[in-house]
Amino acid sequence: MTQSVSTQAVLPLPPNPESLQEKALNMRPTTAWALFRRNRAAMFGLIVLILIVLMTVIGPFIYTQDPFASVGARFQPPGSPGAPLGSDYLGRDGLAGIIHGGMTTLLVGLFAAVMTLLIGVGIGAVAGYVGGRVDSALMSFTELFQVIPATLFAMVVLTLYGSSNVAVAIVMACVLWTGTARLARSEFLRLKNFEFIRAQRSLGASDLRIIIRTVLPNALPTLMINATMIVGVAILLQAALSFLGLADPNVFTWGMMIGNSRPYLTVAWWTITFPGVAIFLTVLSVSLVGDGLQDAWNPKLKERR
Amino acid sequence: MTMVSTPAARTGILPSATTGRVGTLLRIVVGRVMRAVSLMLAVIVVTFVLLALAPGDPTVAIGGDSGIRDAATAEAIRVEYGLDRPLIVQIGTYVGRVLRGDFGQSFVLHQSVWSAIAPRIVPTLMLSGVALVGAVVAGTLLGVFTARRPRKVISHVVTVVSIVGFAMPSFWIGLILIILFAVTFPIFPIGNMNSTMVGGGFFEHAADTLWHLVLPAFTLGVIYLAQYSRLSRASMLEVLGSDYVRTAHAKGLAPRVVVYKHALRNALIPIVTVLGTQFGHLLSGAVVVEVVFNWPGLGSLAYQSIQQRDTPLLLGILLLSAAFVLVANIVTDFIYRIIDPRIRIRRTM
Amino acid sequence: MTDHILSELAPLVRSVSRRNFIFGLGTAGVAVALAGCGSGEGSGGGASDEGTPQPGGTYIVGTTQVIAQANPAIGGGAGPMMIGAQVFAGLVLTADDFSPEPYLAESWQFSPDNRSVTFKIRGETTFHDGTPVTSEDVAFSILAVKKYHSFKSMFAKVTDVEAPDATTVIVRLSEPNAALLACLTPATAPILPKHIYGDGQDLRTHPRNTQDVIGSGPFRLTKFEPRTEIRMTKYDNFFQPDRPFVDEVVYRPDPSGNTILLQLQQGEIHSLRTGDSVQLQQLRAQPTIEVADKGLQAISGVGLVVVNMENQYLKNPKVRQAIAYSMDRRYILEQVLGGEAAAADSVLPPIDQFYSDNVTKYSYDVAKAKVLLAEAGYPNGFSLRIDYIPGVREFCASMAEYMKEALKAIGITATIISSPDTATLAQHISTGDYDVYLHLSLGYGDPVVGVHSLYESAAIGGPYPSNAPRYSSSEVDDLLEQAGQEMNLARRKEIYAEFQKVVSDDLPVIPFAQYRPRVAYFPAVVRNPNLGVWESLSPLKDVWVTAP
Repeated sequence: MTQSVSTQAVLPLPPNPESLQEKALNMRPTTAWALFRRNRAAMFGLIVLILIVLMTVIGPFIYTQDPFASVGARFQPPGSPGAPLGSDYLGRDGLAGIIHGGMTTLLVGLFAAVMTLLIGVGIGAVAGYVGGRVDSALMSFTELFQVIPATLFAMVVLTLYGSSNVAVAIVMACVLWTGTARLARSEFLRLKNFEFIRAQRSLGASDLRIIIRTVLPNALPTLMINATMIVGVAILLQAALSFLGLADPNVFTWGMMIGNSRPYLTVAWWTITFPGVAIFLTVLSVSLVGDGLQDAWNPKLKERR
Repeated sequence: MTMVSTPAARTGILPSATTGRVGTLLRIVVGRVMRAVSLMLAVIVVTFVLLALAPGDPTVAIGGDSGIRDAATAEAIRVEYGLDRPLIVQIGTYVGRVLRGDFGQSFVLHQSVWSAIAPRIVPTLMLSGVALVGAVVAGTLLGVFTARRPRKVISHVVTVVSIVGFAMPSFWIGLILIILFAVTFPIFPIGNMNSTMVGGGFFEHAADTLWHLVLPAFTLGVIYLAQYSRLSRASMLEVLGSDYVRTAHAKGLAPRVVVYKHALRNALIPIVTVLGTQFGHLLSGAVVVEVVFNWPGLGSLAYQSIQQRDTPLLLGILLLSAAFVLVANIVTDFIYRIIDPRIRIRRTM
Repeated sequence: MTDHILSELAPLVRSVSRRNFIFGLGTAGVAVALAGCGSGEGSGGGASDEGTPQPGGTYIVGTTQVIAQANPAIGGGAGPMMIGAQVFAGLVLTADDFSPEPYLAESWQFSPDNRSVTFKIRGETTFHDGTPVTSEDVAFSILAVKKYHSFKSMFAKVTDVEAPDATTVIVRLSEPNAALLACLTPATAPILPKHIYGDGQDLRTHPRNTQDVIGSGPFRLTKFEPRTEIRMTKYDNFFQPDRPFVDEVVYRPDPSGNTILLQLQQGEIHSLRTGDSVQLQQLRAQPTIEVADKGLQAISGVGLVVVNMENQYLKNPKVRQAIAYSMDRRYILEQVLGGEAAAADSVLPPIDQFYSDNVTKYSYDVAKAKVLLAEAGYPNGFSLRIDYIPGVREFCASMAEYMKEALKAIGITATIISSPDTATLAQHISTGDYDVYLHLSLGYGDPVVGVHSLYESAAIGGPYPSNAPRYSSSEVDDLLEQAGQEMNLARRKEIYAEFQKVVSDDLPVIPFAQYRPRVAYFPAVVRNPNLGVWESLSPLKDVWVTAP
């Protein structure tokens, strides 16, 4: 059902089996969106997320200060000329780092989430739909990866094989896919026995066709919610690994800023705090949006307000 | 959740002593253990291969800070540690030794891996255990409390806090706590598990250790707390809205009785489920927190051994953690079957 | 000790300003801690203000090293050297002027041709288990170090060690060795008990390196848990009868480096060593902590940008000069290194006895650098990879980031490769698979030990960091060989001066700053803190602390 990552845990609430019909009804965008819109926390999250994405995409063209270039003396406190959020150990502008580093941070998180989805859904769907021996084998494979401690594994691989951003994304996908696989599997298991699916099979439609055209779209809501959670977890995991020194030193990311400035925490708290806030806001808004989607698609489970 | 075939469907292979409930349990446990063992072997092979294929030369780690300045010495070390043999042989040797309980020598510490790991197990369990238990208890109570008052402000606050707590990087929380409560207001120690100057007997040491435990356990616990309070609240809400609870109310039972006697037990099920899955990660879940607070556990040991390329030590830690997860899974599975008579045979989560 | 006092510190917080809260607090904490320790008014003065040594007490040393084992005869870096210097004796100690002082050896005599040295060692010296120390142990130890230690240059010229009688040792050399006495300190050539280590087992994995370690030094090792605590207790039958003063020396490691500074500020440790500018500045701001100006010269050195002279671009001297001109040394010293490092234009640091200022210097001149690059044939620049050793942050990681920007300004695109550890980097370097890396070259008491192998052509291809730049100059080879054999100090200085000049012209490495770790300690608690050339890598027998 859920999977524990060592540093954080992903926890979507279990979908209610009866709600499939409701889901079918709610697939019409207006209804789900209306529900989403009424959810203030989710809207707040959405707005913040949009702002953050805008900042990372457009910001670098507006605030053109090179994050790698020194703007003056080191450890300038926030509010100093040239360094509104303070400067780091090489006198570099913290705000520039946040604006220019956002894109890569988000992309790494997104990339990791996409790969996690692909691997997880791929394996989970096949296991759930085909069942039998294939299912057992795939589940054993999944259990193998679940048993290896996630953070330690990521640390080992990145330390030994280098910590470029691509490596980080790949390793995170290797560590996070098991939860998605389980979820996909349970969804497919549940769905494959439904009437309309069985009907299609008896009509002679090929399995692949059924999977892609019918089962997958119905499983999509749950998987999408899981995906938003994964993005959040991936960003957090990336930050934790950067904190431990496993980041790409040639590209600015928020996690790398934190990791590099860690020894200077007591002298220059701003070098760690602001990137930390950026990460926090991003993960928070993604989580809120994910929650909102959850509530919008499964109104039966919505917490009474 | 799938239903695997019931015992009735498996015919004739095992002796009659293994039918019946106890026998069934036994057979299931044995099956699970065997499966765990094969998984363990797979883990050993995978991690060993991963470590062995990595670029870099471990003989330098053995040579120490100053590096090895002599090719002959490097070669001698390679032979002694068996690094020159083909990979398959190395794996085989290693597996053989592990099965005999020998995890090899730490490259850097020049002592056996087990003796380096052993004193670190208890501190990690202490940290994770306290954090997890504290978070579960506090989170459950918090969730129950706010579920009963869904429209009050406190409920919203708790929801917000639980989401926020989840979104904050754990090392960040730890560092902020250090700045606030160990430096600015030096109530708690900055790190480590013990102070140098604590003399005295058992109680002084225990108290000192507990005092050092507060900040790291709190840091680790916050994440769990966010999770469990949310889960508890949702679960409790669902249960409170169900038919039998409404029936109980209608029967005229006192609200408190309804909640604590009937609803809670059922609300606890998802909590226990999640707890079961997290239980296995007690040994490996605290790496970042241990590093931040310099807590002498397995996580910080792993971090240091990665930096020093101490392959045997690293392998030992990984395997121990994996083994712990496997054992924990079996144990929780077992407990479920005993506790919940409705579950005949169930694939674990 | 300090825990029960901590609650009293809270009211002191309100008087501190925003940025200095930690400093003020640390001061308060220290003051209260000292009061709690019963040491009365702290003098806070220089190390010369000592008073009469009081025996007793515990001296707690903080360190970021995880010390693998206690026997420095097999190498392993500063960690085992720190412990070994307490537990084992050596023939000599190094005085402040780098000259040798008697220790286990009472006297020594060089033969006229300088190919043998006869030592007279003290009689009636015992190991911690009561066995007498004899010349056999000395002979065994020197040869063991020659065989197992990673610094091969220390005793490479020793052909044999004889023990004609119980208190006489004769060291035979293949040629004169000016650095011999500098290498016979307890940290580099500990006197091991032959009856324990001479049992045929490989010294590198000998179980007595970590358990039940027996030496003849002033302290006996009683607890060895390298990641939590190392305890050493005074040896009552030490050969200097009224030493050591303290009852115990304790090492508390903080491998993460997170808490060590705060531990010193709050009195949980009594001294630490650091070369990090941020830590030094924080420590200097505390009136109750003294940051010593002297001491630790033996593990000081120079930060270097090492270039691979076999790289297609870097083999051209103009390219190397261009890189040298692209570096803004003022910025490096002030910003990257935080103002705590001295300038270094030579490959030997200014505090080294052989330092010479007469070298070619390269000012900060970006225009000139670009011209040189164009002359070399690369007006549009090229690409390089920069690596760094995972050592002192500022000299390595931060400098690598700085170099990337400095090179960018003259048209060279640099990519930072951060090897996770010395092992990986070492492999790259010894196989020549790198372009540029940041290195810290330490002296270890004599250039023969720490510096020669970086520039001798015979060392190319050897294990890291032997001749990392892959530099081959017969002139330098000759100079280094002469310097290694020259027994006259003045003449030796001249030879090294010439060596430094040649290297500054050839630029196999580009020095950028002196690396100088310093000792920070409590003058009120720690008296006579042993601020010698080796400091805590030599025996702490003369340190005394005020009442516990």
